[in-house]
Amino acid sequence: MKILVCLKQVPEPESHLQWLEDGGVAPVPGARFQMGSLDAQALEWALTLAQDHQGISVEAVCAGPARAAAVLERARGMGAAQACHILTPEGAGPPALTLATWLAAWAGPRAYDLILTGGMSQDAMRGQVGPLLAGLLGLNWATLAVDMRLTDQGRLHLEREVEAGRRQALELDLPALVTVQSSPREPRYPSLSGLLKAKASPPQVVEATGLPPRAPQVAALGARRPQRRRAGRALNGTLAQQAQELCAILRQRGLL
Amino acid sequence: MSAQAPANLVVMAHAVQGALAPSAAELLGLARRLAGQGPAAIKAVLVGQGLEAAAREMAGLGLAEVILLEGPGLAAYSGPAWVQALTPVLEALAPAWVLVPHDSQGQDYAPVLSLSLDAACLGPVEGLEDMDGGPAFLCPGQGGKALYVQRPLTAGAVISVLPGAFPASEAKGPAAPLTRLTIATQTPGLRHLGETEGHGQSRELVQAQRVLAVGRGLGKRENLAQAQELAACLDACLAGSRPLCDLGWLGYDQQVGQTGATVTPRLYLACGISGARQHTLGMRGSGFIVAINHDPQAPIHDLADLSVVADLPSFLREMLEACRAKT
Ligand SMILES: Cc1cc2nc3c(=O)[nH]c(=O)nc-3n(C[C@H](O)[C@H](O)[C@H](O)COP(=O)(O)OP(=O)(O)OC[C@H]3O[C@@H](n4cnc5c(N)ncnc54)[C@H](O)[C@@H]3O)c2cc1C
Repeated sequence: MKILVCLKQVPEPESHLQWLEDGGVAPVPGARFQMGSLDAQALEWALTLAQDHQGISVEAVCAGPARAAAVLERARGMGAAQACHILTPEGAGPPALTLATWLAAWAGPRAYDLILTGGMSQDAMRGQVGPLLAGLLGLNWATLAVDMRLTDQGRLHLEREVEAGRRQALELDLPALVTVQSSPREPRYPSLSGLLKAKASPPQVVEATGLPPRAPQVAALGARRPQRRRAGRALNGTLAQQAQELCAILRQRGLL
Repeated sequence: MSAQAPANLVVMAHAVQGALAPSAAELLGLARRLAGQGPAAIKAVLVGQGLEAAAREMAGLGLAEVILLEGPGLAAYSGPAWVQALTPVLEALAPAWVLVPHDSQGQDYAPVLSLSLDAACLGPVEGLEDMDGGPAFLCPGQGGKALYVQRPLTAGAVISVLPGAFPASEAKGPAAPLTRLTIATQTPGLRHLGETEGHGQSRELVQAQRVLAVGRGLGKRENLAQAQELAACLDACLAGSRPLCDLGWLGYDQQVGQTGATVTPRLYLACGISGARQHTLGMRGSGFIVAINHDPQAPIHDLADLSVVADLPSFLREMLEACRAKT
């Protein structure tokens, strides 16, 4: 059984943004990048399934510019047996459908039994790539899984979290695609031996420009700063003064 | 690159345990704004069993038509079954913009539905902007620090919309015709095993007048004690963002947001919380919101009545002192 995990490299959550002259937005130069946190959880699930069952191999794929190779190295370090880097041009991230089309070009012919990915990336925040990839490959899918296991019959039993913390239980025949929601499971750290292996055999590189193109269906017309919804007055002074002022305001308003 | 609203606008009206979700009237409000720019017929579609009452409620909101898709395969939600059921019905209304709530169902089926309709998939939308050539949609990105401006390039589009982002339409109208269609769906590789309460939400939290919520900015687990002390001092209920519940520092029933509790206390102190939409959805209706975050760019400040830009653990210490000094 083969599991593919789709990983994205995203800016570290606290990195600052720069507003570009063309109306777009990008992380400031020198910003640091990391594996998307829900993608890391997806990889952790794949590695757990592989630990609990014999004969499962875990592969990782990442579509991104040259710097994204770091994500695949980390994935190998964590335990992925193989990695593919779909090398994309530098610059603004591609539309979700383009990403999904590239991933489908890689995954389609390789007939994975299970494809896992994060429910949403921290930068684009669309949550579209997983379901789009399932649609392009004609797979059954479910999103936002917080629990999963393989049954004795070789099916995937999963629970997805819905509104107000309710849970929906499902069983999927494989092949299938599942996106992952955060859960108490901490993704493991890469092992030294894993990282050494990754260094010794770099990922297979596929140029995105060589894959079948797909006309964009959504126009990206730049970005805006969010507008303030409330007054949002900022307190001033030393921390002690600010704390005193806050307490005074709360008392004044009868909130304390 | 014209993006005038097309002749048909379809609102997907979701139901939660049989009752119409608030997002249905919100999406209708958005549809009306879009239709204001051209003559568009607005129709609503519901999917599921036992939804006749919800469909009739929708029909009273001044629509051109309400379509209810029923069938044994649609009793419980599944993306594959919904896409199967919706595709022929929406194809017949083409070209259309289909507005879908970006909830646990909408985010699941909207992308695949867009493929099967050969339509653009756009979202999640939280705002509109008028530009040359018609409306453009604003979608949060980068943790909510930026809004991406987008517009469909195809005639048809499936557009997911964040719950709570648009005011509900309050217009009523003569009862719209209700069309009921029974649809046979087949999803052989997928079995439903039921739904459970899950972690639920704390009653005390939902009813609290004052909530002190902590996020990842708390830093270390040791700092939790301080937050607890301050909460006690303020007579506030302690709550938090999802990551703190994932870490096990708080119970999931203390989580505020889309997958946790929705709260509307008189006072909400957001401590070290960035302000992701999935969190703010659960607290944006609070009376007085105080944001404490060391990053002045954090989107939580946009929602705050009062902002403190400071290191959280240090500020918690000062707050405890100030709070004790005068009580
Ligand atoms: C489908 C789905 C559903 C979700 N449902 C929910 C939900 O119900 N509730 C929820 O909360 N989340 C939910 N999330 C997760 C959500 O998207 C965010 O990831 C989460 O809300 C972020 O939590 P946070 O603000 O604590 O952490 P972060 O986003 O990491 O923010 C931490 C903040 O702390 C600040 N900070 C750091 N250090 C300090 C310091 N020393 N002093 C002061 N400030 C500091 C930082 O500037 C930052 O703004 C959901 C996600 C998905 C995909």
